[in-house]
Amino acid sequence: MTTMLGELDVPLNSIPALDISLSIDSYIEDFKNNRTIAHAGDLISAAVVNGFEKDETVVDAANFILASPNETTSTQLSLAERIVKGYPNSNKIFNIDNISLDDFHLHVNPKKVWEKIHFLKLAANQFQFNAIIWVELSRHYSIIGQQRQALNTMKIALQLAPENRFVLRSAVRLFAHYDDLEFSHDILRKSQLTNFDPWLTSAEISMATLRDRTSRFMKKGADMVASKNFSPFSITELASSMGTVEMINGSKMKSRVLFNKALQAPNDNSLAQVEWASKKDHQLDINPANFQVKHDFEAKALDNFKNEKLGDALTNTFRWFLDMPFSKRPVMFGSHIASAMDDQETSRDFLKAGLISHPNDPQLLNNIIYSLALENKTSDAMNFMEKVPPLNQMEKSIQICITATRGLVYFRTGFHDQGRQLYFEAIQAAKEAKSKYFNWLAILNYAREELLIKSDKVQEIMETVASLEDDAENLDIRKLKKEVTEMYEKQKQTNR
Amino acid sequence: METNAAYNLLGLTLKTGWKVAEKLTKADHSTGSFFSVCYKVEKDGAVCFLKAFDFAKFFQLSEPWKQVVDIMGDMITAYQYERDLSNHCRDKHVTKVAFVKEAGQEIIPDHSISIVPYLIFELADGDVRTQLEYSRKLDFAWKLHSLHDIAVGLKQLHAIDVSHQDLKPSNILLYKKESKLGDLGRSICSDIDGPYNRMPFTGDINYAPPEIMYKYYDNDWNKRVFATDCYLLGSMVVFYFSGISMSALLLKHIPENFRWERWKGAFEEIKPYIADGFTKAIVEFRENIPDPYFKKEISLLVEQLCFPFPDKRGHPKNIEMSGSNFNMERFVSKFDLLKLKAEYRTKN
Repeated sequence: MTTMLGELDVPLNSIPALDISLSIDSYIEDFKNNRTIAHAGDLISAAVVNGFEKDETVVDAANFILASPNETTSTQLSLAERIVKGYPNSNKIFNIDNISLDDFHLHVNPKKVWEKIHFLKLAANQFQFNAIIWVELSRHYSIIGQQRQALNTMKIALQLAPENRFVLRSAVRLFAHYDDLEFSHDILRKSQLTNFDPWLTSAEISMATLRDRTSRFMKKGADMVASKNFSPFSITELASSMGTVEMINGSKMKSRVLFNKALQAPNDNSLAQVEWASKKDHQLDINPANFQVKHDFEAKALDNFKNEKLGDALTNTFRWFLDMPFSKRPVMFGSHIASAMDDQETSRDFLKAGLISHPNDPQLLNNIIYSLALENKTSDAMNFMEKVPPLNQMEKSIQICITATRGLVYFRTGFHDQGRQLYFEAIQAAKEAKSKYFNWLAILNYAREELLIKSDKVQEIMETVASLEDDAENLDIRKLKKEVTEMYEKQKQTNR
Repeated sequence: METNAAYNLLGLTLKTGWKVAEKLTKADHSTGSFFSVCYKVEKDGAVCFLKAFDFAKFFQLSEPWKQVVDIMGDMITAYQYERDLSNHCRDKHVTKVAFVKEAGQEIIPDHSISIVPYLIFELADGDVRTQLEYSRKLDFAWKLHSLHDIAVGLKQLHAIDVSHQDLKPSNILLYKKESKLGDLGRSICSDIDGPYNRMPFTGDINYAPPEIMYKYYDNDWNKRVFATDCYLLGSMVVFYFSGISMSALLLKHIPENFRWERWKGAFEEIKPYIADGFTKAIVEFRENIPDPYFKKEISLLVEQLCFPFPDKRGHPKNIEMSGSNFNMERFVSKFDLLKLKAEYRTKN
């Protein structure tokens, strides 16, 4: 896939002509004098090696092979077909751009991943020299959340091809995914290629930024961006990562110059980076649809969401997830959008898909339980609740969410006092953690539950709700507050 | 081209006594060279194959800036070299090579270049392409027998420090049940100072190994030339069973951006992609062999012979031990065993 995107090409501007004189004349003459399958095979072989596939006699030879399927080999037939029909269009192989949410269960299937792992293990065992198979195996292990296996297989790939861009970038991404930023950074710092290859220089600068370090490749990167030795596409990620550094350092002018450079021929990563930067610097307002970028699903999803086109945002988030099935970000984002659209089932589909790569992740489990409870599917919610790890093994913010969600489940199962108690705990914990977002979220959810059971606590909690600022920047807070307020008004009217 | 002297030998009796009986279509019985015209010749009841060097065509296709005397010199050197190398091999008891029986030259008047040097070989039944069939009833025994002959031929050549360099289907000649290596014109020998000795690769670029295509080759003469022969033998195996060359099969599985004529980066950097293409090529190659035993054994042979990086090419035991990685002995034995097994299965 990365090959098709052109990110593994030599980053230099010009392609030199080869100084070997090529000819297939003798093969053409041989085939004309001897129309046999073997002569045809010999001719099409020479044509493929030399790039003469469009030659009239070569096409004739290919058709000659295709006309005798019982006298040829599968390899001859396949090569002849390529010559006659052209190389298969990469879009026909697996084009994420055409996938819609209707295909969710077709493409999100752990069984398929297991089958692929089985195949890759056999292949890796047999072709131990092939670093790309080890990378693929590692990627698939990461998709199903088998961290140790993913890291071990990637280390093998690194040993086999320590100076290859694809392997290095895959390794860096994997180790960073598992939070081993130091090792990720080391891989890049130690590679000779980082000195010359802008795709790796940019990765090193990004890693340094993630680790709050100053990259020693900034000067080299600046030289690469300024030089005319590289095509705009080759330096797009470098320019965007350097632009980010400049933005963090407060040099908006410099960052704009670099981001604009990145936008000359952006890829999905640089476009998403500039899209992110545009939120911080409004002079960088960009529309991803204006750029012909392959696999820019993340940038499109963020842009759709920003413009409140939730349906498009959800579809692009699904494509983003298919592009990066090991990543939790598209999962959380997709679930969030679907939930905002009141499509709890799709929201849960995203979350369950996320559990493939992050089994027993408390945040994902929490959101599934929350979603099920909202639809009064309390039995299913309890089943997922059993999988939640102990609270002390998770971040404070997740602890608050889990506590509140347990409160919700209690409410929905009729244990109102226990539910109320847990909501109070969550509200208090969020307050102590100085998290306005979680505090408000817990208050609003609690208010909704009191409203639903028409308890005598409604008046009290609605006074608190009324005190919440209206211009909350989060869509879900705004939406929930509107819902709760409307419920309250409706209830008041009914009571009159 | 038809007006060139080399095309006008039909019906003549040459000074060496050979009567030129029939003009042969290219590749019918030829040993491949593009700068030659082929005839059937007879003398004292013997029928042989004559390869006439087309000096005029050589001129027409030479670089325009080259001096005429230099072109003439190149052509004569090529002719003498093939003749001398053939004699060298014959004298060293090589048996699986089509030797030059006789060499001579003829003057054909009224042509701009009237001299036609020629070499006479034993007449083959044809090159291997005339015999190869790919139908489901694969004649494994015959194919393996022929491949065994080729491996023996290479082993014999290597034993006297000759590297064939131009092993391809049109250069495998059939003599009844025996296959022999034809066209030593592009071969190189450490004992004979030939026109090609200092070239990294002298054979047909269409069959060249990846290190040549990507211009990454060992400076050590022995390693470079014998690694090439090793790959070419593997490529013949691929052609015998899949009907296309190894290079074509490999390129089929290498993305366009990494093709040899497009790649400008270092060989080290592209190695993983070539290795991946090679893996896919081997997987595809296997599908052409229905019998599980032969599928496994023959694809393993191809993997060892055609490994895309010369330092890992050859039999694993040879790579581990001192001496040449590209020693043919183990492959000869393997082909012999496979040949016998195939013959046994055919009979039973």
